[in-house]
Amino acid sequence: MSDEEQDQKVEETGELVINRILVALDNSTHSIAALEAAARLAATMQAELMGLFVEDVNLLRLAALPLAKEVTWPSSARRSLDEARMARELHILASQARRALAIAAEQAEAEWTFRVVRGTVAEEVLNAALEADLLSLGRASRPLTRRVRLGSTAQAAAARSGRPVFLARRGANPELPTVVTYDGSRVGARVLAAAARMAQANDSNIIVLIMADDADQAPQLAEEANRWLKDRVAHAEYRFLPIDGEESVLEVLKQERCGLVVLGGETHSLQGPRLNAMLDELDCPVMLVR
Amino acid sequence: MATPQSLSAEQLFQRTNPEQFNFDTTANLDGPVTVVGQERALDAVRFGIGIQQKGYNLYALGPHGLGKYDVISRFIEERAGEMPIPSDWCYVHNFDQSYKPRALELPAGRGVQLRDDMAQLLEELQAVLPAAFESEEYHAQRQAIEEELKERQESSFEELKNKAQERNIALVQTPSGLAFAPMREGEVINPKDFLSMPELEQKQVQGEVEGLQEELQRIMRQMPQWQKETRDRVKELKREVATFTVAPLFEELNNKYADLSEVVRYLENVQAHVIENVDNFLQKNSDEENPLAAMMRGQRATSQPPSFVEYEVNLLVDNSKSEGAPVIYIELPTYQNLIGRAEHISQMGALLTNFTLIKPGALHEANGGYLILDALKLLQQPYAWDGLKRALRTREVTIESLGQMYSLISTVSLEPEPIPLDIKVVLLGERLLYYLLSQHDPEFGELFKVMADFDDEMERNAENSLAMARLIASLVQRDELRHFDRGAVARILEYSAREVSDKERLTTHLEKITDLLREANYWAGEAGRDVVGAQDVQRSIDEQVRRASRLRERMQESILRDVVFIDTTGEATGQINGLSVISVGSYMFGRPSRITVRVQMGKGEVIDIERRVELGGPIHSKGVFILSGFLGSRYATDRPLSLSASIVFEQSYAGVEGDSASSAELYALLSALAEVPIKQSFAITGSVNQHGQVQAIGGVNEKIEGFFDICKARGLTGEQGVLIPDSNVHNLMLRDDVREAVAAGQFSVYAVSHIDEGIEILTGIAAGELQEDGSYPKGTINYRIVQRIDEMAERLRTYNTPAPQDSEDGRDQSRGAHEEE
Repeated sequence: MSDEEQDQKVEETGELVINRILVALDNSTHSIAALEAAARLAATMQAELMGLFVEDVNLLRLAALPLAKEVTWPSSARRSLDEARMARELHILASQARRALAIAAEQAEAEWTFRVVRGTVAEEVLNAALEADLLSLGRASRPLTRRVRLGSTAQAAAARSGRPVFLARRGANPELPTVVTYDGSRVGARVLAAAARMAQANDSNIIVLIMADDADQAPQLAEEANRWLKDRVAHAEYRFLPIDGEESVLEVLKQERCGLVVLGGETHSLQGPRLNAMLDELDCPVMLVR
Repeated sequence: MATPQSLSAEQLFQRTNPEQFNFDTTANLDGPVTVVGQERALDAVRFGIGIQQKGYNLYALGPHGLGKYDVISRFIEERAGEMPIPSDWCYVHNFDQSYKPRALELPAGRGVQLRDDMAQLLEELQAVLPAAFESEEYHAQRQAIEEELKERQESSFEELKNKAQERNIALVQTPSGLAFAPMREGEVINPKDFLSMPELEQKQVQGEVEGLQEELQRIMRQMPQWQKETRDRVKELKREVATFTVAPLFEELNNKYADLSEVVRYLENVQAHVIENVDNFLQKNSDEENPLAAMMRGQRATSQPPSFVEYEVNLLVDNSKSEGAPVIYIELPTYQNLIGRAEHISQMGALLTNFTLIKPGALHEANGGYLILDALKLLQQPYAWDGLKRALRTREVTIESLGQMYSLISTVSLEPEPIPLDIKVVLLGERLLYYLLSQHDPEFGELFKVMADFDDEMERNAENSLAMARLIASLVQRDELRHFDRGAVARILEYSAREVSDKERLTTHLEKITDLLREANYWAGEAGRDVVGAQDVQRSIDEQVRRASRLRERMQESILRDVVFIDTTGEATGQINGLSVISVGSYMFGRPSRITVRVQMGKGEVIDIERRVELGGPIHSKGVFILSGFLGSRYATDRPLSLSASIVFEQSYAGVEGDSASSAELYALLSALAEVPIKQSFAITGSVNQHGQVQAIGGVNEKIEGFFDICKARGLTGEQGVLIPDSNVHNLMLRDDVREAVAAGQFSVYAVSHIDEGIEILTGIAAGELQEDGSYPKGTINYRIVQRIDEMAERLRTYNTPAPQDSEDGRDQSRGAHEEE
């Protein structure tokens, strides 16, 4: 469904339509969290789950190099790589991903498909996302440190995907409130609709961060948001953000105990490198709506 | 020798004159009396309770129903009330060895305080510790420590990553780890391109990659150490916060129990354990998960909420409400009820236990006081006797599971610290048990040094009679019965004498007296009387007899219907009525048995048919041998006893025991030898010695009444009577109807002291005294017997002497042929 069609649908029904969810799987704990979140949403919306596993062509190239060696985790032993073994290991990962998808889909009683493609991970994921209404993936593959910064694929998806993107994080509690930004922009309704959907799927409350350009606009925006939400969620709270940039948004989000953050809007703090920096810092699942 | 006269009716009974009492009814008697006639036993009890030395435990012996328990418990309770209240005992967790719970001794009443204080402490810990660890200060400090680690790791990787990037090499993740890949245009270099590079360049790249790999390895090897350092610092921070938080709570308790060093030491252990395991207090309920699910995944149920059971106090012995030392009696002295036990709870199919499941035994509860036990019940319980002895010997109670001891079950077990034991045990039991234990258990004498022997009878004098009256009054009051008038009391005393079959003694069997009182009270109620009279007591006795008389009546009936042959008139040679006693429970009755003797030529032996067929007991056989001895010594000192006599209890199919029929057997034997008939209107009881003296027997009253009942049923002739040993006269406490018949001359009781007196009464012929020439006066019984023996000896001699033959050879041949037969 194109953005225009989606907007029209949202306008007509007040609902964000999600029929197909692409889940990028690499068997990391964060990608499993992405699968779980997608399955919950699929169960609520009767959506189809589309599993994707990308055999990273860079890894295969690396394995074919005569100097290729890996330092294993966590033993720190060094061992040689070869192309055949790398292909085999990727094949095993793909099988595991397929099994995980099948189990999650069965529990969610959702239709599912699974594909394995070979290529550059970010490119393949973004290409496949064009066929879906939502892209769900882990915020990083296997992070090297305890700090879970945004991985390269997640960065690419956040920056380039035209579809809503769900960046999952392991260990999050989906029952905690869903925090959503609203700036009254063109995509605002879609953002609210997506937040309402996620709150329904997770059985959580909603906190709306009103991002107004000036103090007079804020109550008006809250009124608008309330109009959207009042029939769709049981309980919604409103917070008014000071109008001084992305740092304050990040500070507020860090202070709130949230199960999910739904971001979207035309405010400059939700665009470009500022958005990327914010995504990098946020230590909880994020849904990006455009 | 003069023939004894029959006894008068007065000699058959010792009456208690109600007029001897100066009260009308038991209502006039006051003061509680629980026992009479037990001075020896009471002195022993006083001694046993008073002496405080190891092994001076008591064994109160005597038949069941003497009131031993009442007497002893009253004595002990009086003394226990003056003794100090013993300590409380608690079991607490042993923080060094959890399977060995520690025992704590506290002054009475402080055990319950400690238990409540610990419960309160736990409650407070559960509140203050999570609050302390949720504080912003704690979070900030912890976050700082953890951030430091993240920064350290991140900067190391970043540095390495940047270093690699400078060389156009990327750090990439593989499915199993990390690798360095030379890059070209943002992607990993194509292998073909790499191989097309000059060899020198390839080597250079390879060298750089190897250098980076080594550095990566160094960083990765350092990471566990950094993580450990961080964990240690977090742990130390937690310890500091916990110590600071709990210190005031423990300080308060330490002050409260400062006088009890063991408790203070325990509190120190608790404090250290709380600080070390503070995470247990920080677990949230939301972390709970089904332990079964965890197990199915092959994991330990780590997120199971902590129970904090190790901080509880198991108050085993609580003397907070005690007054004086405890006096404990247990109805079921099993091993576990005595020693205590560690119970188990089932969890996921496994049996688990901990120190809070330790339950006290009677030894714990009676510690510092007295424990009264029924010896028979104790010995009937497996291992209970051994357990008790072990506790008394070691002077401590050690809870050990029998299942563990004998490897019957295999499960988690405890070895609770033994508790010192200071106790006096009183065993109540039958005499036989005491004698058996003394003989067969060497430890018994060491552990039960004091014997309190309760007598089952006492002298019947004015003092004891009044004491018994007072006892009756006490029992009446205790059981809230109608009062007894003095006639009723007098009748009870007579019953009491009859119970021990002695005119001069009274029974001390409290249970029998109590039963009679209750039943007499019932019959008085039935008769609509407010005060129990003698007639009510008599009714009770009659009803007791009637209830138990089914077998007696059946046996009498079989005699009266001539199924069992007993003559009560006429005369017969070699035939006599013996008397025996049958016991049915606590009821005894007498019955006559016909004894017959047949004499034939023989080698001087008396054949006891009962013994030959193994129906005669050893004492019966002894009696028969004794009468053989009498026969030989009296009649065969200068002549051979060439006869053989067989003695039998006719129509006896169940065995005969006792020697009380030996005089009757001897009379029958003498009758058979002398060929003089015996009057069948008599029945005889009494044993005999080798000199012909008649000796005392038991059950004389029942035996006389047993024969009297048969005679009365057939019609008293005035000729009928019973011969009893003279030494049994003091045992006579006969029924009214027997006494009335004797007074009316319809029945007789003769007391004989020698067999010669008896045979004269039975045959009407004098026995005959030995004259100077060694012969007996002509016509007497003894003369006839000697004549008969001589005749038989002569006949035997004649028979054994072969007829005269013509030749010596022929006589020799004949003898040879006889010997061959």
